[in-house]
Amino acid sequence: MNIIECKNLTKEYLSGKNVVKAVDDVTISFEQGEFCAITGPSGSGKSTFLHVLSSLENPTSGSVYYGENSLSSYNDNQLSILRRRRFGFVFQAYNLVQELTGYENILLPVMLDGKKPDEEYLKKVIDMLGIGDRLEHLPSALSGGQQQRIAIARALANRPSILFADEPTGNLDSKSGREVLSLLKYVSKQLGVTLILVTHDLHVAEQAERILTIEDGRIVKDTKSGIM
Amino acid sequence: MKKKLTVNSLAVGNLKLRRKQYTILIIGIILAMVFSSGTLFFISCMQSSREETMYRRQGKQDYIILNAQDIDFSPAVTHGDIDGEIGYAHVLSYAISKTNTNFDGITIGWLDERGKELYYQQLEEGRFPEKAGEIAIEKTMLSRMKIDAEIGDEITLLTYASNGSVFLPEETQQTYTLVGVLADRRIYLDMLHPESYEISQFVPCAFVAPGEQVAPGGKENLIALFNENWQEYSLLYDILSEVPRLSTDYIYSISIGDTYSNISNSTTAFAFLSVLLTFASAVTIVNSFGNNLKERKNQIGMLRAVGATKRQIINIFGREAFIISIISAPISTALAYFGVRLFSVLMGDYFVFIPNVTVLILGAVIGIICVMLAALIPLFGIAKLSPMQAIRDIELMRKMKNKKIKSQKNFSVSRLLAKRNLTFSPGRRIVVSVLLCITTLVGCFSVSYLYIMDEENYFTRYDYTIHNYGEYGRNSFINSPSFDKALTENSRQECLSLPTVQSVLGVKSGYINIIIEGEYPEYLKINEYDGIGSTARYMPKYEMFSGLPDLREDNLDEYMSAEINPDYVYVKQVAGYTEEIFNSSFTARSGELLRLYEDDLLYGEINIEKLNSGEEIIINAPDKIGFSYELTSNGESSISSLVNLSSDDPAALYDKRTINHVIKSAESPFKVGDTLTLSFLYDDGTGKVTRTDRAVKIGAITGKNYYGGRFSIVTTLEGLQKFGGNLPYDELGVMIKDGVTAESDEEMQTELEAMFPDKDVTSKFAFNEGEKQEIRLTMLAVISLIIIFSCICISLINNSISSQIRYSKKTIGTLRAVGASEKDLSFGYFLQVLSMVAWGFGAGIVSYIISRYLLGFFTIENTLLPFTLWPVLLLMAALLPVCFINIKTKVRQVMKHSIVENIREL
Repeated sequence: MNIIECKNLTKEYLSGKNVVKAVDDVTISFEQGEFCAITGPSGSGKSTFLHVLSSLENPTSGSVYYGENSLSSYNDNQLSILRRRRFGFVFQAYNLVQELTGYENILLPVMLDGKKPDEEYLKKVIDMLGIGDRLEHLPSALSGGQQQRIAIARALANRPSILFADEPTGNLDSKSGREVLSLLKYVSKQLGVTLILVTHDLHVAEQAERILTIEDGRIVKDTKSGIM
Repeated sequence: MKKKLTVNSLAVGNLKLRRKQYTILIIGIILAMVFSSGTLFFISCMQSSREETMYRRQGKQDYIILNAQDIDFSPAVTHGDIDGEIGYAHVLSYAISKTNTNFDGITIGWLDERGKELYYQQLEEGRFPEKAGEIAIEKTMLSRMKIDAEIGDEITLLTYASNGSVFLPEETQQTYTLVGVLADRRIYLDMLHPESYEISQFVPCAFVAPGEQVAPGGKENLIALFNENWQEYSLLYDILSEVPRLSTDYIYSISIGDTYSNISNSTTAFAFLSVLLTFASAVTIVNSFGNNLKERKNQIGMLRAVGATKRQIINIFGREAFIISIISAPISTALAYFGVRLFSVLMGDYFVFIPNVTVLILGAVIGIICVMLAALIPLFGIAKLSPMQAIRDIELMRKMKNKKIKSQKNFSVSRLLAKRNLTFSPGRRIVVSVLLCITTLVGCFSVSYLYIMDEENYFTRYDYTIHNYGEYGRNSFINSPSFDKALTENSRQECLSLPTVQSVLGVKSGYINIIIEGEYPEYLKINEYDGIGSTARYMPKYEMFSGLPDLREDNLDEYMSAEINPDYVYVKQVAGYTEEIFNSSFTARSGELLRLYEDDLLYGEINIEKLNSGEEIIINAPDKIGFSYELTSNGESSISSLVNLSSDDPAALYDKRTINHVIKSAESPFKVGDTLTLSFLYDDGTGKVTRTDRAVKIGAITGKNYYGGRFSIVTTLEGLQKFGGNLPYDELGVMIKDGVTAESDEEMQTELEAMFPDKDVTSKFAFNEGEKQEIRLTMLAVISLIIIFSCICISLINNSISSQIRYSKKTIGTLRAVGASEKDLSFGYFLQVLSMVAWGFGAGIVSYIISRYLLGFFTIENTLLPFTLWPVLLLMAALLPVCFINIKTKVRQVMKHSIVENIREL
């Protein structure tokens, strides 16, 4: 069953007077619980594809469907609700809110949704990520690996359907990177979350069930469909 | 690269790139420069206005030497004791009008060129005489001589030619054409030199064409006018010491009159406000420039990393503020100049602003210095940062690490973020709160002051009042008018005969004795305490001239058992009283004015007929009175007074910080219908005292008013006549038939002043116009002040929040990514504004309440200013929506970009 798909997705940028197609007419779908890695050389458009797919950016043309609903029909408020309830994001630079503690950062999507936190679930996630002793610290007091774990917990806090990760290990040393990746893989499997991860590291990509390779904004290889 | 990279080109480049962000800074800089230059201009205006007022009243000369025709000043001129040339007034004659019977006339003469320059006579209407037969006369002199003439009219005067030092007794009739009305000079000279008869007699107050000759048989009297060279004095001193009656014959400028103090007060107040506004603008500069620099920490860090020293950083970024202030200097100086000019025009003739190039340049320089001083505060702060601190914002991380934060388990994201932002950046909240606090204080006190002005705007029920100052009576028991100065019935009739006058009502007052049959009532004894030493039967034991100690429990008996008042003994002897008497004051008014007492009525009714017939009187006798003294909380001073205790809450009369002790109290023994024997003593000036006793009934009793505690008697003027005597009026109130206009007011006032030259004539119209003008100006100033402060506050808050929004793009992007809507984000920033506003206004209101009480405590009257909070509400009503709209706009601007762009701070 497809959880998210895109049809003829295109994203163009203006670079000076030239139009650059970062994503070029991509049509693809992702299934529930899938772990997919998107890889490709620098500037190939893999991150832009992830951003457009996850509604962080609007496409120039084409559509993204969450289930059967086209995201282009959503207004800004509906997209915000979708992001806080159904999507989770992990960024390369962790992107924690510096003024909030680790625990408060984790609670952000839950609180924005006006819900009571499911403490049992959160404890489970926190335990899985091994960050129980770092929750009272402000991000500035945490290491990169610890910050990224907090970011993963935040992304999972509202039981999302899809976890989007943009180079989650890019800012970490290799040991921390391996740990974070294992955790991402483990947690998403345990919780049945679809994980779509962008990486340029082939070792990371190899751990995914499905690998998409993007070049010049187009999917040139999909290990699932066998596109070459 | 063609262009050379200099500090200036870097600064100009920065300015061009960040035009939008510089708008607020530029506005702040211009405002600061306007206000700082304005402060200097106000001070300059104060100085020039004082000089101008002095010149208009007395002339520019230091000396006026009468009978100078025989004095040789040439050695002093040659030696340099005298500054410039000597000017001369040529006195030709003394003149009276044919209708003026009291010989109060004018001196006629002309001024030579230097004399004109020094005497500085101002023209109110028309022109100065140019040919023979023309004359210009001072305005008040025209009315004093009862000359009713317009410009161009011919006037005939009886003149007495000068004979050098005196005027000849021979009278000549001369006809002149009135060509000018001059501003008053002689009344000011009279006022400033009351001891010098010669000044008012010889200094000309009417001028004819230069070169006119004295009438045949006469001789010109020359008056020398000159300024002293303060560096040199020796020869001039010798010459002046030879001048007879030197002490009265020379003048130099000495007196600072009321107008001067008004000028000083007004301009000082405005200069003070300018200083306050300069401070507020400087805060804006500190804030906007600080935010501006904060947004460019990376740039500063990079410059530091490539080797720029702290000094170079200050130089590069300070140059921006310097360039803006240099560019803004002409417009700021012009705005300040026109602002002060407008002020001087609005404030009237005596406010003169004569700026010179030095003052203007100095104004601009002071403005630039203020801006640079304000800009240096954030500059020094930012220059202190190490390169990495600036690039990575380690400073904030350090601050955060040092804070002990406990995680919230359940929170509103907007609220928590607002709270944390303010916790981590307290400086912003402090700056905004301080400014809001000052705004609250300025706004509330200004409006309180307006209320006071409004309360004081009460004058009189008459169109004109003619008041006679002075005491009538040898002592407080015997009424004794002095007719040569009094306002008599003739005066009233004379005034009533004027065609425009509808009615003239009068008020008389004096003393009347109540003959006490039987025991002396305690109630009246208490009244006597208040008049001890004057109208009471007893004198205190203390020396009269060492000051009377206040009555207290421990000295009351001593007072009342002391020596009997010699006036009382004398009166008893002269009038032949065998009984004790109580000396009461009385007021007699025209019957139609007695309705004034209705509001204060306790018992009975005011029956004008019975009052007129002398059958009844009204007494002011509250049900219960007491004699009390007040001690201040430190017990240092006391004030004893008679108080009306019949009110429900007598303590409300007093400031709560004083401790009030009622020494003695008594209930009123008087009832409506009771009969009193009143004894009126009258001495018509011959020394013979006439006693008239009448038994009258109490028709009405007043005394509701707190302050009307003292016993007194009220009746009509007709009722007073029944006691005989011929007392003068204290005051005449004139009502005009068809209302008063600006033109008729001037004429009427002139006419009344001419009719009663030694009385105080006050016009309600002029008073109210003056009051209205003052209130209008004050309101204008207050409203402008509140608007300026509000604008500064609004711009400061908006600038601060806008800068924070721009600075927090990454956080906004992150929050958007985790599902925050525009509403969540805007609300978070708005809560910060609310918090700053609450702190600022809270502190402002608390400071206002405290300072209001402190002001009340330290003022002699112990009165509190009216309490008002509406400026705060008004400011909040203006500030919050504007800030909300600004936040919405700024957040939308950020949200126009994608989340990724926000996160990457693009």
